[in-house]
Amino acid sequence: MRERSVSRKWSMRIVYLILCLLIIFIHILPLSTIPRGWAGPDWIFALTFAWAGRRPDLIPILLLAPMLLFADIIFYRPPGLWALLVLVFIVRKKNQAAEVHDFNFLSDYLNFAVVLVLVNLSYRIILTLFFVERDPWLLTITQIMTTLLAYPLVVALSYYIFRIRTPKPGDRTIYRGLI
Amino acid sequence: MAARRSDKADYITPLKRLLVLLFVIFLLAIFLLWRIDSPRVERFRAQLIDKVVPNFDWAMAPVTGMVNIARDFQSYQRIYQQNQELRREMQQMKAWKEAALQLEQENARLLDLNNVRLDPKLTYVTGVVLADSGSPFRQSVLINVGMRDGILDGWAAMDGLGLVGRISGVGDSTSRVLLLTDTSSRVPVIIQPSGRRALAIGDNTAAPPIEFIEDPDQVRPGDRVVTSGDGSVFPPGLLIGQVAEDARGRIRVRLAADYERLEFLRVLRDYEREKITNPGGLVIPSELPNADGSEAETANGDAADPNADGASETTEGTAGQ
Repeated sequence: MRERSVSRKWSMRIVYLILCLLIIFIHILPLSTIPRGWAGPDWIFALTFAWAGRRPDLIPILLLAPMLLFADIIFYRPPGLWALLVLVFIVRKKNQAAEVHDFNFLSDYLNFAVVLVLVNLSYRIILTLFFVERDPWLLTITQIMTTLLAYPLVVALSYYIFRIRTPKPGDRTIYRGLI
Repeated sequence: MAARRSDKADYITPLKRLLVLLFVIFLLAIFLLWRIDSPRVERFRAQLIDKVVPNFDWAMAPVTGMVNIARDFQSYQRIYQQNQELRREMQQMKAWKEAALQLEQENARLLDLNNVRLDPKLTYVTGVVLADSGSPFRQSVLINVGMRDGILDGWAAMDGLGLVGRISGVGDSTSRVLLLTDTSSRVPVIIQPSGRRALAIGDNTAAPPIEFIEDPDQVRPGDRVVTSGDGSVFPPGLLIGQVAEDARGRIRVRLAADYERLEFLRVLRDYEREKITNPGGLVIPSELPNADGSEAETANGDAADPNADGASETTEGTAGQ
């Protein structure tokens, strides 16, 4: 019984990794090279946040940090910074998830919105402090908006397809071995 | 229950904190290293992408193909209309083709008369677009030619018609082309026919604005925009596009290259040209012929002979026509 849950845990971790790689893959397809003036949602962030709040054991830091750094490198972002900010906030979210007893979607959504804005703001502030060229405001804002719109979709897909559900209170086993 | 949990998690929690801390320090260090020594980290990035992305090529090519077919299918719906338009355009094109042929012949004859020599170094390598930058914040594409094809940083990339961007980041078998629309792209241009110099500044829109125009009054929509070669960023005279005015009256360049579908890009080989650093400087060949009289003589003879041959051949050719 225990072994089965462990193997399921690992298969879900691999599913998470594959989903992230798939998102990166779709992004770099050379379908349109015309600048659009607006930015689509940050699917990786939405996915990671949704899973981290519900099943923190499925997003081990050892998997998350290299994946984020890889995305930074592939997407030509300043390497390390976006990954660092996301990592810090996701670790915080994972720690919160262990404490929360009554989970409801609305508070999770609000939390997501706040964290999303915080990550983007701190990203821009740090880039400014280091005199790095920042992305146009309009793109950042549209990305925040579209990511907010995408989050319920990500949560619903995770719920129905990947069966990512909040554990019953008292089921503490999933918080063990979070590395 | 909380006590039981803390018992079990006692050794896990500090380890976890340490791990998070290590990763935070590691990521911060990478960012700082990038800020301090950007070229080194960017080279690493180019190498990593060079290793990773071509592996996905087997999957990317068919997916891209499928999506493009689907898009084409949408345009089939108005196929009749398009056909009519194409016929009309074809008619105009035929007229232009005739004119172009005549001009080409005339041009060849004139070049011949003047004994003009085109720069033999302006040849190109053609590459296929593998991937794009993946984020709406960066406008760049990855092409499948790299160091092994002799590509160097800073060379110009064009599609058949106009300038697309410049090489920035070369891996072994791939290189990245920073498009003119990227926010960090700055290209010195000349606006013809008035000959005003300016800068085309990428701002993440389809038509980059032109700024620092010497005399904006002389620039009209429809004027040709070509690279000026200032600062030896690009070879001079590459077509970029046409001047257009946006709704706010800002002058922009409508790019000649087809950004909607970048499939094949040609990268112009552009080795160091002779630089004239001060106005009174002498322009001399970098390798002086030997002081030895006989060798210099043969060298001169060699240089002169093919010249004469070429000239006579081409005159024959034009005479034959």
